[in-house]
Amino acid sequence: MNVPHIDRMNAGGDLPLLSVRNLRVEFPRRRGTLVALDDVSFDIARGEVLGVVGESGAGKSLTGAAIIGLLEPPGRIAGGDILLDGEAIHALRGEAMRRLRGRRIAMIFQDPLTSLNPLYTVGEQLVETMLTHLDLTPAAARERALALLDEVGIPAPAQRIDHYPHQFSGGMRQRVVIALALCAEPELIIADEPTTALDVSVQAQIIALLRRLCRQHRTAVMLITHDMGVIAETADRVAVMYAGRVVEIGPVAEVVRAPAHPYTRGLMGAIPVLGAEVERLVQIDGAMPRLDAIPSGCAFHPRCTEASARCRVERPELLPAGATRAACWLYAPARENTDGGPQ
Amino acid sequence: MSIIERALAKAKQEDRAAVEQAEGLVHRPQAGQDAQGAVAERTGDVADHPAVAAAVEAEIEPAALAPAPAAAGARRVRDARAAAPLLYVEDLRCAFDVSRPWLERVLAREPRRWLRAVDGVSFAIGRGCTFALVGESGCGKSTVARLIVGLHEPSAGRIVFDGRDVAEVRGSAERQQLRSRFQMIFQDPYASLNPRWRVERIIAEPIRVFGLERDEAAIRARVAALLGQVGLSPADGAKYPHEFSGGQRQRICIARALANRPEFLVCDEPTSALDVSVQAQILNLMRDLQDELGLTFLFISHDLAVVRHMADEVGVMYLGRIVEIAASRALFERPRHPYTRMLLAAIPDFSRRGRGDDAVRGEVPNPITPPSGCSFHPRCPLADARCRGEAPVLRELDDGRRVACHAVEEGRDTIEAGAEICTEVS
Ligand SMILES: Nc1ncnc2c1ncn2[C@@H]1O[C@H](COP(=O)(O)OP(=O)(O)O)[C@@H](O)[C@H]1O
Ligand SMILES: Nc1ncnc2c1ncn2[C@@H]1O[C@H](COP(=O)(O)OP(=O)(O)O)[C@@H](O)[C@H]1O
Ligand code: SF4
Ligand code: SF4
Ligand SMILES: [Mg+2]
Ligand SMILES: [Mg+2]
Repeated sequence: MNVPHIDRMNAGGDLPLLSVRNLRVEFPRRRGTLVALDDVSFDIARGEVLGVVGESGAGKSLTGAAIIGLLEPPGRIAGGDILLDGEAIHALRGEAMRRLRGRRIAMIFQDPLTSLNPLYTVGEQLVETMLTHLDLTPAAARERALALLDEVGIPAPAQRIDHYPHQFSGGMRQRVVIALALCAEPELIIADEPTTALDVSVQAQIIALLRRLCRQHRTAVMLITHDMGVIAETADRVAVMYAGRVVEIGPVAEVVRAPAHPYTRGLMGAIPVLGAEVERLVQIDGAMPRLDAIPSGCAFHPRCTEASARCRVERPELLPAGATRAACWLYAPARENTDGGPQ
Repeated sequence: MSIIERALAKAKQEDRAAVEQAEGLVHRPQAGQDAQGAVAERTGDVADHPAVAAAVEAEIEPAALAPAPAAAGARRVRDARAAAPLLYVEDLRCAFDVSRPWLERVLAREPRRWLRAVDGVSFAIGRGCTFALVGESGCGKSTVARLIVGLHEPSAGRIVFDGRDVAEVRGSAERQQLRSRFQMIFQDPYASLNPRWRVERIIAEPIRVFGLERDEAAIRARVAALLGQVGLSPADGAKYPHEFSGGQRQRICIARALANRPEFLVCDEPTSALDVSVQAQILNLMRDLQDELGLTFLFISHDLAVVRHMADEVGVMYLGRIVEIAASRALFERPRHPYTRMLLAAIPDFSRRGRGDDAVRGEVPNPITPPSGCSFHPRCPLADARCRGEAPVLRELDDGRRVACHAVEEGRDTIEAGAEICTEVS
């Protein structure tokens, strides 16, 4: 199904850099197919940070992996489109996908060692990546590598450039990975839980760095995290995922201030915040369903305090809900909502 | 002498020096300023040191021992000041030998190396209260927890539970009886449950071990009651751990911990492996159980917001030491130690966008070779020459909190400087 309103939420009015439409990802099994992502749609504008938030198993990483062509078999894209600057990339294979990866879309993982080769110095890896993707001489590439290491806050880059990944601390390694992601000047960076393994004080520095550099380089970012606080501080817009679907999407300030979807509301209330003293945290009973037991209708209905009969049978699409859009029958237009739906 | 012989001789000599040094570190108060601090604590300035004071006066005059006063708030606030300590630890130390194997060390001419994971920690926990330890990974929180429940031997210091020094409880029956009064909950609910046992057997195990209940029917009834208490159904007892989600497994761990009706629970990052909606369930459950059963908690977390929600009093740890200890509300509303301020500034905030890059700087140094003086000095915006040479000791401030910082002691940490650290440092 087409979702015409989504583009309204973009920072700019022109063609989005990334457009994901009705994405469906499946894992075929001997006994039936598991549908891991179902009808996921969103856009990211140039220079925009889209936060993707949700609890583990929501489908955040799979969404990122599908975009950059790193779904692990038997996982496969079973439907929908992924457009980069208007050009379909979901069907790219082999060499074409590899050229795109690193050059136009870069990836940052939770564990920096995923992106770093332990056998090469960080300088060699930066230079290698630049020579693969950019038209540079080796000397110019090394020059640029030095500048990048400096830019990401590596002290004494002239010495550190010849060090191996294991000689860096976790936080410094993640800085190197950011340099590596930025070195071919990609248009989009997909960062999957880039600070989850780091201590809070290091996390704050890495997030600030990522935000500053992407703004300077006008790089769009898809920031995947389970941490709503990180999203609130970093993202322009946020997509909230639950059980393989986007259940709410909108400007981050609005979603944080006035979440529309019952799941987002529950999620926000469940997070202890420093400023507020509450006797009890908002509690969403139950847990995220497993893929082989996704409830009918609205997948959130067994945990939702506002579920009605309709929620159990009919699946809601994203609907305008105040300043955001939410996949919830509470926001169905009134005339659709007369036959026993929630008020 | 051959080169090897010389190396061996030198290494042996260094080894001896290192051992002596380490023994000094671990069995006696440290040399220099620290020793002065420790001596001051011992020779009478008891107000500086509630735990020491508590040792002497707990029974007589608990109100005078004043852990930092708890402010009244919307949530239930227990008066940590009035509560007599159920547990206190005094100058607790634990050093790990992290030397390389002997031959390698000798060939590399390395001395023996010690990692001071816990380096003189003291605190008291009032009965029915929650005391939290917070700090970044590696600061020694889990080691404190493990020392308290007896999974590590302290290199020095005392652990006093309900007026008894646990090291002095000798007889095995008595020791077991004492042990049954405190329990521990771990971070990983997956690793701490035997996958081959049914849940009812897992929960009944401590009841059987401590022999509190011998009649099988009574044990079954107790297990069913425990399952209900943690929000599971009695029918869940027949299942295996893998049939449960992470949150439900943590409930099983809590039921097992409660099996022997302990008074004191050590909770080491009990929700760090859980999603936030499930974390909320577990935190709510823990507070309900605390109210219902009058439990006392040592609650360990790296998440300041969770600590703020759970704790009456908080100790902030950095490289094996407590740098600030205060009532939860006071600590979060007006942090004083520069590290506490940095930690608070590092928390992503729903309202504070576009915070400066430099509010937080540096990383935790290698604990084997901690910086001289105040170990926070390489990251501290207020560090000066004294900080680099002299380790600060905890001193009590007017509001009852204790802070280990020269700048605070000297009044160099003005409110403005504090505000600056909290928001933006250039
Ligand atoms: N290789 C796979 N085979 C089967 N299911 C998978 C596989 N990879 C991921 N999944 C499932 O897909 C769902 C979404 O996973 P993921 O995108 O990793 O979630 P998130 O990143 O939001 O935590 C989960 O339920 C997960 O168990
Ligand atoms: N058994 C051990 N042997 C050697 N070092 C240890 C051991 N246990 C912990 N450590 C070290 O002691 C320090 C404190 O660890 P820990 O108490 O686990 O910290 P935290 O729980 O605050 O993350 C760390 O530097 C850690 O590497
Ligand atoms: S559609 Fe129904 S069950 Fe789903 S979130 Fe909305 S009210 Fe709840
Ligand atoms: S003692 Fe000095 S270095 Fe340490 S926290 Fe205080 S001001 Fe900073
Ligand atoms: Mg993931
Ligand atoms: Mg720990």
